[in-house]
Amino acid sequence: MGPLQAARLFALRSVWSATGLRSAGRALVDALGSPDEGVRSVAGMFLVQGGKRAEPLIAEAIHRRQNLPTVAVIAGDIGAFRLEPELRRLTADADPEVAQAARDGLRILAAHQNPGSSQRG
Amino acid sequence: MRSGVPGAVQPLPDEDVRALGFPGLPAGTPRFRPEDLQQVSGTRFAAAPAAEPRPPELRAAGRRLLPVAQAFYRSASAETAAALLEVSLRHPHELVRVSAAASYFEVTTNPVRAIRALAHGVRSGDPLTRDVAAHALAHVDPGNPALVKLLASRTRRSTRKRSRTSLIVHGTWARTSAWWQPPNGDFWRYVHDTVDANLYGAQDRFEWSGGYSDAARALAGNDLSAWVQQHNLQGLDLFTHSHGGSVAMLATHAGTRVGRMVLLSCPVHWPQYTPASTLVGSVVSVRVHLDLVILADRGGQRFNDTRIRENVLPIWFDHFAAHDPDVWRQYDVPAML
Repeated sequence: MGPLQAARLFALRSVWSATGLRSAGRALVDALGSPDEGVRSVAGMFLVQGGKRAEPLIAEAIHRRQNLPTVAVIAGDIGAFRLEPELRRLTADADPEVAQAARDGLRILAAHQNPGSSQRG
Repeated sequence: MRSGVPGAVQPLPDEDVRALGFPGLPAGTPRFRPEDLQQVSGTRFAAAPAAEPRPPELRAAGRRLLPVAQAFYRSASAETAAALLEVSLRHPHELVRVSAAASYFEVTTNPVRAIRALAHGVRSGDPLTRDVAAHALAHVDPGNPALVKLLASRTRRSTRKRSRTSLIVHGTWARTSAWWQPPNGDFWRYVHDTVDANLYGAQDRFEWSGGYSDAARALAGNDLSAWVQQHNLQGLDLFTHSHGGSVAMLATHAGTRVGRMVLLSCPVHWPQYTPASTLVGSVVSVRVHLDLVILADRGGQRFNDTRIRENVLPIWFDHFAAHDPDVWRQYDVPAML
């Protein structure tokens, strides 16, 4: 990922944060499928940093089966409890990567609910 | 004092500063002479502050602390902030003195007095005071004799027998990435063949969700610790990338012993993610200049801790260069470990 690609992502994040413009948020979701690992990483970080604001975008991506292995984990990261039924459904997905990501998402959700369970020692 | 430089790491996020009710201050603080600050604060101390304030100083500081603090909140400026720090150097509680000393460097023409307070704080019986003092002192005066004892004890710990198994811990979103996976991931193959033949390569190698949250990393830290126990390892060496380093640090707090911890492009979130120093032999950080992913992560670009050896490659922006075998070959990264 070069500075120009990074600048584009920062700009999308700024527009999405400042205006809530859905298309800017969708562009970040689209970027999760980039062949560039850096672009995927930064887009995912910006979505998670958006917190609950990202929830409708993540729900939409799940329904469209878009970038599911990443999106399912993001659902857990942002504490999207509303999406728990979808994640449960995805644990039985035929794609093992999707099923694993859904299990991870559920586990992270549970850790949000009960932080003590993830802190040992 | 906050930095106003766009994109710079903020040790104190703005929302936290607002929540604490601190008045905002512009960046680029001028430096003041101690005598001038004493005049502003309405105090007059006969001598520079000793490491342990004398009773008359404690009384004088106690009398002036509240009005000086009120003056700062009434009219926040570099001068009133510095005056508050000047008085706080004689506060009855050592943690306050040490904290004041840590910031005093930024505002004074005479840092010697603050170094003295920090050097004394390093020997405090209170762990928090000791940690704050040690971190601040290591930042401004890393060669200070007061730190030698801490470093010497670490050196003794690192002489124990090297652990024989090593493992790669991937970073955020990288669970399914090929580079770290045995037996054909390019980085796994390179490390195994060139750097450490004990690199774990069985099917049940450790992996984690790659989630981008504290909860995901906390789960992963515990899972890594459990993995080490299940494999009956007394300890191991870790090659980590990005927040895989945070996961490794959390695992040490869950009791995992690590001989050598290699942090590749690890975002700095201090003190949230720190290695448990008594359980880690050595920590080496390898990174690039102005890592764009770390910038997006809002993490720090470098560790300011003398226990972590920093190596910055002559590469800009690329978060993933640190696990590129070609980069390791070109810049002889194994020699840095």
